[in-house]
Parts: sequence; structure tokens; C-alpha cells
Amino acid sequence: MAKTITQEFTKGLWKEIPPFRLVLGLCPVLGVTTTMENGFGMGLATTFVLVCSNVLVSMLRNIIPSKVRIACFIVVIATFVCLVELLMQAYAYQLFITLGVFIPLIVVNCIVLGRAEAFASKNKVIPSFADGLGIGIGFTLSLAALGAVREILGTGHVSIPFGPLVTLLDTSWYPAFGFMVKAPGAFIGLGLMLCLMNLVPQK
Amino acid sequence: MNGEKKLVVSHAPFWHDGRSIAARNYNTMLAALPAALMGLWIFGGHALGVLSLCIGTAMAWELLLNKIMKRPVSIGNGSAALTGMLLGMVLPASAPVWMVIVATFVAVVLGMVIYGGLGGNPFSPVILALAVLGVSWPLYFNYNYMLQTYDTGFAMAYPLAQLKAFGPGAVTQFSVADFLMGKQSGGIGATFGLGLIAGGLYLIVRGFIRWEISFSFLAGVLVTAWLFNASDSSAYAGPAIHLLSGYTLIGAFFLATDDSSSPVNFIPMLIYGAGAGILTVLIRNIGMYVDGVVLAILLMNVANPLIDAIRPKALGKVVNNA
Repeated sequence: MAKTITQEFTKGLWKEIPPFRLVLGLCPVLGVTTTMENGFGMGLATTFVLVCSNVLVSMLRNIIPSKVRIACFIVVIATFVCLVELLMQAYAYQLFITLGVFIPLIVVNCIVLGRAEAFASKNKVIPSFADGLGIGIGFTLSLAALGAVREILGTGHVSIPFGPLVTLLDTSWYPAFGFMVKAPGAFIGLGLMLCLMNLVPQK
Repeated sequence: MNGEKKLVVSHAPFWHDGRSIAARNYNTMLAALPAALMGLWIFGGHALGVLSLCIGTAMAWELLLNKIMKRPVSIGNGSAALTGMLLGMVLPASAPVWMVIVATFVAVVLGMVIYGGLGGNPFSPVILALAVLGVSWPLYFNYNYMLQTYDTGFAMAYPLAQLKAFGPGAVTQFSVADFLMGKQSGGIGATFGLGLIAGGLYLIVRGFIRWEISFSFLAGVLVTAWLFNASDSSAYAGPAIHLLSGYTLIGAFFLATDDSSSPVNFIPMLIYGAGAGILTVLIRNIGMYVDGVVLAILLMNVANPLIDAIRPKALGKVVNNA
């Protein structure tokens, strides 16, 4: 029954990839994926919080009284969100400005709390680390993918994370589908990607 | 005997008089035909291209999705053709080919098929496609754009855009007769007021659409526009312009009355229609958009399940001791 560390890691990459299979943490998925870079940055910040909170919660799992466990998880998560917020202000200020309120909102991201509650509070430190890393990377990839789809359709170019702006469809002949980078485009983009994921048969 | 169905239970709405879906759709297309033909006569070859492409691609999208989703082929019932036709009637004759194809994709695939096809759509598919186009390509989805390539012998400025930009003084050149005879810029089939009214009345008389929705929509537009005009006639145009230009008529008779996105009870139908009419004039007069019909109907579509919950109390409820 017990899964290996590798299995705990890889399940987050495909089998339980957060927004598409678990359909959790939709607030940032819908809110910040206007460009690939935003989605990727948001995913990295969430991954950092996820890994750190998973490890700490797992370490503390025998000390935390079960009646107040949610509050304790929130305190742990909020600590790391503050950390990532300060780090981004120092080293990725532009991204920090773009993501805005969604960085503090990682505190209430259901993926982070969900993994703390469902996994880290019941498992040892090393599997919790692998779980957090896997889910985090899966989340990052999904956000980057959705961001890329919306950005390419909506503007014709794509911003490689921490890299140059690549023009794929020149707006001289491609009339940018501006709807996709607006709020309703996020719902439709996510819905269609969910639909595609469900077409792929699950084992 | 055993295999025979004794009781068939299906979803609301329950208006039924034995006619098939196909008959309903083809009759609606017939009713829309005069306005569409007038549009073709006024706007010429481009309009014919846009309208044909709309109907063709709408049906092609539905066929494609039927094949992909392994559902029975449903293009025979005419719902995709009707959606395409109505969509073509509200597009400008100058709409580029790619825009028409995206519009029918949004209307048929995003608006109908993924919600479960005919009868499952929470929004009027045509309205949804118009909203998406208006947000994405205001440059191409623009009736004044046609000025560049057309010479039709009458003022080709879009009345509502004129009204928005220059106030009611700019639209005094339009007479009611002009509006009724289609001498205005606008969607291919949305300008010929007389044809739309005739088509709408035909549908109401034959029972294909409900008079409550159409008339309360028009009444909402009329009363709200009249109130605005009475309060300050130098800033707001009179009710005639609001009733006869833009999408008001095609909205009242063909778009707001979409079966699955409008209520089925009497009072809710009145609220639905009047709400859309009031919102239309509010958006036109004090909002930033030129024509409010699309967003007004979309909003009432969203509110439809709530409005339709207003219904008479069931008989036989427990009464507290008197």
C-alpha cells in the first residue's frame, strides 16, 4: 500500500495534477494566467509555500492538537507566504507588482491547505516533501500552460518565463482574440483544457 | 407491449402542441427571411457571403462536434442553421471571413454543444457570440466600418453610434419610415423594422414564441426611453429611435425569446422581458456601450433560473390553524 517517494512525487505531475485533475486552487488559475510568465511565477511562489508548509506541518504533525489543526496550518502557511512575498519584493519586483493581491491570497489557496490537511499531517517528512514538490511543479506547469494558451490566442505573443517576449502570431495578419486574456476567457480556457484532459483516458 | 413507454417524463419547458423542433426552427427562419432578404438587397454581395458563411459554418461546427462527441447527427433539426442565420443577421456586412467562423464557433460550440446541445444552453447562443465579438474585435464588429466600402444612397452612419457620440441632434435626419424600411446602417438583417415586426407577429400568432417576452421587452424599452426623453430631451433621444434602431426589434422577437434561456411562467416572462428592455435603454443612455441589447439579454439570461423560480404557490399547502 505504501507508495514510494518517487510515486508521491510523480503523482502531482499527471495523475493528480492540481487544477486539471483535483480542480483545486482555481482562484489563481483564473486570476493570474493572462500571460505565461505570470502563471509560471505564481506557480513557483505556490510551490515554495507548498513544499515548506508540507515539511513543517509534517514535522509538527504529532504536536498539533487535532481540534485546532486548521488554524495551526494557516499560521504555518501564512508564515511562508510572508516569506515568499518579501523575497519577491526583493528579487522579482516586477512580477510582485503584476501578481498583486494574488500573492497574499496563496494563504487561502485550497491546494496548500488541502495538501497540509490530507497528506502532510498524516505522513513523514520525506514523503511530504516529495508530495509538495510534485504537486507544486504540476501546478506550475498547468498555470504556465493555461497562461501560454491564453496569451498566444489573446495577444499573439508569448512571454517565456524570465526570458524574452516571443512573437508567434504576428498581429499584422493575426487579429488578436482579445477575449481570451479577459476574465471570461479564463473560464472558457480552463473549461476547454479540463475537457481535453478528460478525453485522455485515465488508468 | 412490454417495451412500450407508458409515461414519458422530460425537462421543462412544457409548451408543446405536437409540432417538431425542426418545424419550429424552419418557421422561425421563415419569419426572419423578409428582414434578411431586405438586408441582402441593401447591402449586396458581401451580406450574402456573410449570411451564407454563417449558416454553413454553424451547421459544419455542429456536425463536427456531433462526430467528435459520437452523438447522433442533429443538424437536421435546423437549430444550428437558425443560430447561424440569426447570427448572420446581426453581423455587419463587412465582417471578415475569419470573424464569421469564430463567431459561429462561439455560438454553436461554446454556446450550445458543450452545454448539452439544443435545450441545454443557459444563454442565447447568438447573444453570447455577439458579446465575445464585441469584446474582442471592436474594430471589425462595427457598423460604421461599412462606410468605407458602401454606397447605398442613404446616410450610412450607425444611428446609435451617432446618438452616443453627438447626442440626439445627430439623429434627427432619420425618420420613422426610414427605420421601418431599413434605410439605416446596422446588422445585415437587423435594419428592416417592418420585416422584423411582421416576422415576430407571425411567430407569436403561430405560437412559436411567447408574446409576453417580446411585448414586455418592447414596453420596457419604450417606457424607459420615454422617461429619459421626458426628463431631458436635449440629452436623450426619444423612444422611437430606441425602439427601431440597433438590435431592439431583432432582440425582442428573435433573440430574447430563445427557448431554453428564457422563463416559462407568465409573471417571470414579463419580468424577464421588461428587465432586458429597461437595461437596454439604461446601457444605451448612461452606459459606455453603443447598443445595450446584447448585454441586457445576456444579463437576463443569467438571471433566468432565479426569475423562473417565481411561480404560483402549489395548491394544498398546509395552512396554519385559523
